[in-house]
Amino acid sequence: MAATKRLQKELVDIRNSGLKSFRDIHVDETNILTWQGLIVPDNPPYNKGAFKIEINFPAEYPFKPPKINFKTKIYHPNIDEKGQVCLPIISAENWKPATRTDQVIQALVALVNEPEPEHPLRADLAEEYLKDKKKFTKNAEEFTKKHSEKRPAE
Amino acid sequence: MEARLYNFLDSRLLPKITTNAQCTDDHEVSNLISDNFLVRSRGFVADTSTRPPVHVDVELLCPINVHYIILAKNLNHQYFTTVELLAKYKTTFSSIAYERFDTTGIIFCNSTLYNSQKLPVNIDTSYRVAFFKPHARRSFSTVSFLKVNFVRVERSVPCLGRLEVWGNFSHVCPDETIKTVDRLMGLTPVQSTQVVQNGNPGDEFEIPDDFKDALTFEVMSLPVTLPSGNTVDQTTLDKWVETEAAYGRSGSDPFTAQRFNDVRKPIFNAALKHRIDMFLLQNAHRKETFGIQRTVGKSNGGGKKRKILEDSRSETSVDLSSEDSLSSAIKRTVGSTRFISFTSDECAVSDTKMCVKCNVPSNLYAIPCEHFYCKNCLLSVCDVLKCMRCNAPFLKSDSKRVH
Repeated sequence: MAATKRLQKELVDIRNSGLKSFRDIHVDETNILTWQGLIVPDNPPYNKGAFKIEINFPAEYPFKPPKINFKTKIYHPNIDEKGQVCLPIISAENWKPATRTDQVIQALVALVNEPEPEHPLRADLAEEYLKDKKKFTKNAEEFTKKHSEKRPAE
Repeated sequence: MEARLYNFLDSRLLPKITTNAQCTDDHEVSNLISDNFLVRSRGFVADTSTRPPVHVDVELLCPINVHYIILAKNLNHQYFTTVELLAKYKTTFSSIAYERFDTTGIIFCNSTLYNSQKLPVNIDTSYRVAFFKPHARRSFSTVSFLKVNFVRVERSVPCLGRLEVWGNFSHVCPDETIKTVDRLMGLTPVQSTQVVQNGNPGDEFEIPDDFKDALTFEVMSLPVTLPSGNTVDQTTLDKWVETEAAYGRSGSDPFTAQRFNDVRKPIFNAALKHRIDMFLLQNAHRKETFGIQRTVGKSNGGGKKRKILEDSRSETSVDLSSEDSLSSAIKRTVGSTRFISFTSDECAVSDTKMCVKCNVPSNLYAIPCEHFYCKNCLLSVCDVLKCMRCNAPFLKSDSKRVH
């Protein structure tokens, strides 16, 4: 399987790079195709918590893009209730096999920190975000406090 | 004494080599000092018309103290060859060894450093061992020019499959020269080619990153360099092109997404392929290289290999596999108009199946006398149950559909 060597290398690289915004990477030893980790955003209103995500790599990786799912509920215009996220860098038509997982994660963290209401998955939240930012921030903060994971120690 | 030994005929140490003999094509004397393993292994073979004395002259980078000289034939026969070694520092050549041998190779050892109990390390035991003339000591302790003189060759032509001059610096060498040599050798002098092969299993071993596919990090068997400068395996590229084709897109560089065209296209990296193969051969005993394939598997990759060979034929001189060239040669010969077939034409006619009644080639049925009928004609023949051509009787149930 082409994916194994590449993923092993990427995993070592990502663990060594010490990304602040992506922590606690768990990979099942029997299945390197599924990674779990904790997204730790810097910007309010999400900087009160951390969000568990799961990255699923297809067996054809790196020829097909990985899929990202949020396991923690998040109040975000670009992430729907099922945890699906719309990230252009890993869409099938934009995917380049040279893209590394750390680049994907950085793109994801950037999206969480700075929502893009122009391309929403949840239109209601996007509308709220654009029309009443204060209300959105307040709701998101409450939601984060209620549902998100505990942030790991620095 | 156990200072670093260098092969002063290593291509990195810029030796010069000439001969007075006419060489056979592809077996020029310069092969012996090539940095390419494959070229080097072709060796030197003099033209069949050449008669001894033939000499091969070598000029070394700096004056050296010769420890031993390895000389091997590349034509595998058991006939005797007589060679004389001559050495020169500044003025005149003087003979340092003279030997008649019938083994594949011979090792001339410095008689002041070695004896029959103490031989150089890592030498081929099938080679004969000889020693320099003891009285010529002054001649081989400082050598800048070396001459291998073929005095006599029996039922053969002068040839050399391997010529290595191992030694260290002569006492006349300044430190400057020693540093230059160290730099040329990349500061990691190799004691002998065999040392690399036997290498200590305990030491650090890593497959160099440039031997790995830039996308999958597997060791490549068919490296191709992309327009972006990255090198990936042909199978990786094929897979990516296939994936792209699923989206209706033509082949592109997986790093830059630039479409390939006549100018911007992947090129088979033959030089890297040689380096990878050499590396895998030398490290075949290590567990890290276990299971790495050097060619694309026959069952699934035969077609791919042929394809890349065709693609790269213009840029690189990759030899077609003999199997491939044979079948294409046969096809070309049979297909040419000048080809006269001596097999009877009848069999060629009987090969093209047609209805014997109306000459239609499709929807045919065969009857036991091996004549063919189309369905309509067969039905009419079935009334009499006799072949129209040979009158042989047949049964309705004997007719068989042929495709």
